[in-house]
Amino acid sequence: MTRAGRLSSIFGFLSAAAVFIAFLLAAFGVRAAIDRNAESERNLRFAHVDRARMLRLQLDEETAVRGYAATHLRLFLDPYRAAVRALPVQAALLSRRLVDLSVDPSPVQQEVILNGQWLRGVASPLIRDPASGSRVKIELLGKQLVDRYREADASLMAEIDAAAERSEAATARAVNETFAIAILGGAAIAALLAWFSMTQRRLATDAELHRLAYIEEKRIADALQEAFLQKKLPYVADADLHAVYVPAGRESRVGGDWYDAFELGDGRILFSIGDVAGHGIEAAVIMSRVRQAILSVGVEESDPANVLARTNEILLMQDATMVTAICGVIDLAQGVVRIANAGHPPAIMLFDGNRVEQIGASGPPLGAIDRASYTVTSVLATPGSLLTLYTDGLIENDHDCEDGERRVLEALRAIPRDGGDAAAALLERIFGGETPADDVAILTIAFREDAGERGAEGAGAAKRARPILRHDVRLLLAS
Amino acid sequence: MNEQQIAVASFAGEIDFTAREDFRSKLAVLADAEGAIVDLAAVTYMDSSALAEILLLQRARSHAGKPAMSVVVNERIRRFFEIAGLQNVLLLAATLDEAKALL
Repeated sequence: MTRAGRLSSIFGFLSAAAVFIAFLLAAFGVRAAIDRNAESERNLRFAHVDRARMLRLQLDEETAVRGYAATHLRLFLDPYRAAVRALPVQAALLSRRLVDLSVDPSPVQQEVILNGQWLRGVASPLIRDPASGSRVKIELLGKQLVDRYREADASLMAEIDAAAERSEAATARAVNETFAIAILGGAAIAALLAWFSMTQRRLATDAELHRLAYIEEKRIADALQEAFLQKKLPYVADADLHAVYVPAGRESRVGGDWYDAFELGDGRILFSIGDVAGHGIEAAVIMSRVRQAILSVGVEESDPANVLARTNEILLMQDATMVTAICGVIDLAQGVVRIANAGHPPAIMLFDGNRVEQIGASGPPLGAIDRASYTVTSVLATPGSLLTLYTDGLIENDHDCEDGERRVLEALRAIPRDGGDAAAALLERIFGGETPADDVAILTIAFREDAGERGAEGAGAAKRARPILRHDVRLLLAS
Repeated sequence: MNEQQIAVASFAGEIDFTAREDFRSKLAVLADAEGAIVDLAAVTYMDSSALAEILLLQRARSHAGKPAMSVVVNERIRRFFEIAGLQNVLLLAATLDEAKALL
């Protein structure tokens, strides 16, 4: 997934989580508001009950005193005394409850005061002297006080009802707020989802465009590669040339690998193998330039080190890139191969089907260094020997080129020398039918065992040349 | 060379063509420095596109009259530079201190 895609996924997830949490909090809020409301309703109901009880106690006192005054029976005084004891207790309970409910408890205190006044000014005189001459006056006072007591009770009732209304309003407000949060949250989710899907669609479109551009580029690069690769290697009397080219398994890695071999006449064969750093059309185009340069210089110049040096200068004039390559000349008449290397994995010579030798030191890659110079290594093309050149895709498949080289050397020893396609056999031994991760090119040149029987003159020349060449090789190895 | 004239770019892990742009932009800090060190001690694999970037930088520096760069390599990466025939073009060193001493 692209960075933008990951970002939008994370953002979408976080937003959804945030909205979810908001909803959760809102739900808890509603629940708490409803709980609070139920609790306060219950307390308000109790407050009403307490208030009614206080009123009843006052009335109980009054009824009892009236009864006593009318009948002089002490029987009436028992409920009176009970009420006198109960009223302050009830008042204290109610006051506390009202304070809890945030309702002003002063009407209750007012009632207690009025009750005290009534007890002192009305109840006590009547109990002390039920037949008092001023009874009318006392009763008048009693009526006044009880009326005021009722007024206090009425205002208390109004206060409690107002508190109930306040509580309901608070609950309604909490529920409304929660609804508002839910609606906003829903809108936010919808907006986020819209944004998210738009981003995803845009990314998908981008990816599709990239893919199409990619396929087109690959198609062109493949076509160029196909056109550039030599279809037919020269047929030579004393050697079998074989080559394979396998494009990368990963599409993005179609690169600039090549191999070439040309007969120059006069019994010489110019060959090259190489790899342009980079991939796609650009690499394919540069590859074609390098090969043309090597061929045109090689036709005139017999020393492969000079071919590479001049190709390097030509490349430096044109492009800023790096190319690794091996250039060599086989002189069949003399039975010798001369090789120069520009930063390329070394060619391998397999002698007698067992002894392997990596050939020569390497100079810098082409296109990298001004006035680069290269050295030539000569090896004997003894009958039965096998020269193998390859590109780094063969040894770097597992990102370990030392191990890769070792495997190539082992594989070469195991290849049957029956004049068959050694390049294909090597590829098969290394990859076993799997597609390589990078492009792979292999060029093999097998010098025939029966070379001497085919051309007496060529074999004779090779024999004559050997002492000098052995010396040449020793010198090169020593240096 | 004075330590302050030396710029170092360090890398780790695998450098292949997918990291080419990133690699190039990180190497760019070495372009104008008097002494330049590419520290590849912690690199486990590099391909030819990474090598190409180092060589392009080397070329640009040499055109600007700067001295050769030093490259810190482990054994595996040293082999890679040797295959590419660059042991005489770049100053290969085993440690950062050795690289500084070579400049």
